[in-house]
Amino acid sequence: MLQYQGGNEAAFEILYWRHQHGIFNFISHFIGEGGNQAEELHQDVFLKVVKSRKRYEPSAKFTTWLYQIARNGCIDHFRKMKHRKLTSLSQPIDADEDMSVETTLPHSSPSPEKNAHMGELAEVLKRAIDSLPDEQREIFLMREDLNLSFAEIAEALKCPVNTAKSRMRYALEHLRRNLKREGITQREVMEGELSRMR
Amino acid sequence: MNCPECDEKYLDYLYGELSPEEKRAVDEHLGGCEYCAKQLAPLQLIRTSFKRLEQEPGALVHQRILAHARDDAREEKRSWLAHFLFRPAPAMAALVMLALGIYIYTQYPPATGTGGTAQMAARQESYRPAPSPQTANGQVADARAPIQGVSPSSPSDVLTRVARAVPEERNLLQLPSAQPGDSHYAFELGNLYFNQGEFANAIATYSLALTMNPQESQKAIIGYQLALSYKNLNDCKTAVQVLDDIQRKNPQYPHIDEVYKMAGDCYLDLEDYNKAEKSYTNLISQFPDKQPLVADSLEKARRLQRVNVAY
Repeated sequence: MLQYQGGNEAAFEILYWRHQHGIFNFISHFIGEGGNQAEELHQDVFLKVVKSRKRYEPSAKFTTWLYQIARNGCIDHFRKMKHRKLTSLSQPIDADEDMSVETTLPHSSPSPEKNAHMGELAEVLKRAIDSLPDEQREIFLMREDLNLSFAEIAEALKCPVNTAKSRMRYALEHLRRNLKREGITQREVMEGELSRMR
Repeated sequence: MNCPECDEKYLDYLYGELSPEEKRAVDEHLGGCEYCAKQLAPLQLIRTSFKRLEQEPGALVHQRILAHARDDAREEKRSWLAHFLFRPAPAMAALVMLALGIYIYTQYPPATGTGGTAQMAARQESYRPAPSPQTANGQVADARAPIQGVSPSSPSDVLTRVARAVPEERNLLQLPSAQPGDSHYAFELGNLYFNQGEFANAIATYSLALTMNPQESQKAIIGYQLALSYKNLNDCKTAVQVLDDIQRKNPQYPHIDEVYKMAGDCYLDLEDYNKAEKSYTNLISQFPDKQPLVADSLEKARRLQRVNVAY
C-alpha cells in the first residue's frame, strides 16, 4: 500500500488480486446477496481505497483498514435498504442469547437424504449464517472470508481477543446445531461430495 | 465442547493458530478422545461447506477498478497539460467535442433576457446551488462568472470553461463504459456540472451528448436534463423548446409526466398561462395519479388566466 501511495500503480494490482476474493465474499455474505449489488459495493470499496490512499497510515494494518471500508459500505447499504437491523458491536455477549435463535429460524424439515446433497447443504448453511446475530456473523465472516486472525479481528472491532473468540464459538455452535437439526451429518456430506465428483 | 483439554484450544486448532507443539498435543488428544473428535468434525464440515458459498465478481468489475487505479496513479505523476498533449486521442476527442459543441449550442441558444419578475428571481435563488468548488488552478468554477475579454454569453466562453474543467472531472469518469467521445461520457460529465450548479457548462455538455448519436431512449433523458439546466438559468423560453421537442419526438419516454410538469412550470414562469394549463391537463389526463402534484399549479394557471382576461 505504501508503494501505491507513492505512485506505484503495479502495487495496487498486487493488493487488489490478494484481497478482492475475500472482500467480495465478505460483502456478499454480509449483505446476504451476491450479483450486481455485491459487485457495486465491491467496486465502491476499492475505488475508495484509490481515492483515500493519501490518508492511509501505516500504523493501521492494510487488511484492517480495507475491512473497515467494506464494513462501512455494507452498513450504508443497509441504511439505504433498511431491510436488516444492525445491532451494536459493543452490545455485551449474553451466554443465553444464542439459545433463542433456533426458535426464530424458519423450520423446514427436509429429509436427511435430500439434505445430504452439497448444494442443499450450502443452502442450509447460508440460511443459518444469515440468521446469526450480527456481531457473531460479522466475526465469522471476517475469519472465514477475510482470513483475519482473532487478534486482527479484535483489533479491528476494538474488543478483547477473548471476546472475539467467544463470539466465534457461539457462531460455530449455532451453525453446528442448525446442521444437526437439518439432519446433515458428515457421512452424508461426504457421500454427496463423492457422487458430485463421479 | 466440554472437554477441559480441548475447550480452550479447539478454535485456534480449527483455524491454525496454534504453535506446532500445541497442535501436535491436540492431535494426540483427538486420537484418543472420541468425544472431542466427534464435536470437532461438524465444525470442520462447516468450514469446508462454507468454501462452497464463495463467489467471484464479474470480469468487468476487475477491469473497472484496475483501470481506475491505474489512471489515478498516472494522473498524479504528470500535469494535466502534459497528459493532454502526449495523448493525441483524448486531445482529438476534446477538439471534436468543442467543435460539435459550438455547432449544437447555436441550435439551442440561451434567451438573451433574464426574465426579471420577482417570482423568477426567487426561483433562480431557490435553484442556485452552494458555491462552486475551486478549480485546480485556484479559480472559482462558476459558469456565470465572466472571463476577461470574452462575452459572458458566447458559446466559446462556455466551451472554454468546459475544456478547463475537464481535467478535474475526468478522474471520476475513468470507466470503460464511459469513454471520452461517447454520449454516455458527455451525459455523465453534464450531470457532474449540473450537480455542482454549473448549469451553463451542463448545457454545453448535454448539447454535445445529443450530437454523439445517443440511443433513442437516452435522447429524452439528456433532453430533460438540458431543459432543466436552462430552467435553472431562468431561460424558460429555451427550456420549453427542448421540452416540446421531447413531447413531440419521444411521447413514449417513461418519465414524460415530468416533462409535462416542467413544461407547465416553465410556461407559468413565462406567464403563458394558457399553455401552462394545457401542459398540466395533459399530465393529469395521462397520469391521473399525478393530479395532486400539480393541482395547485393548475389552479394558479387558471386563476391567472381569468385575471388576464378580466384586465
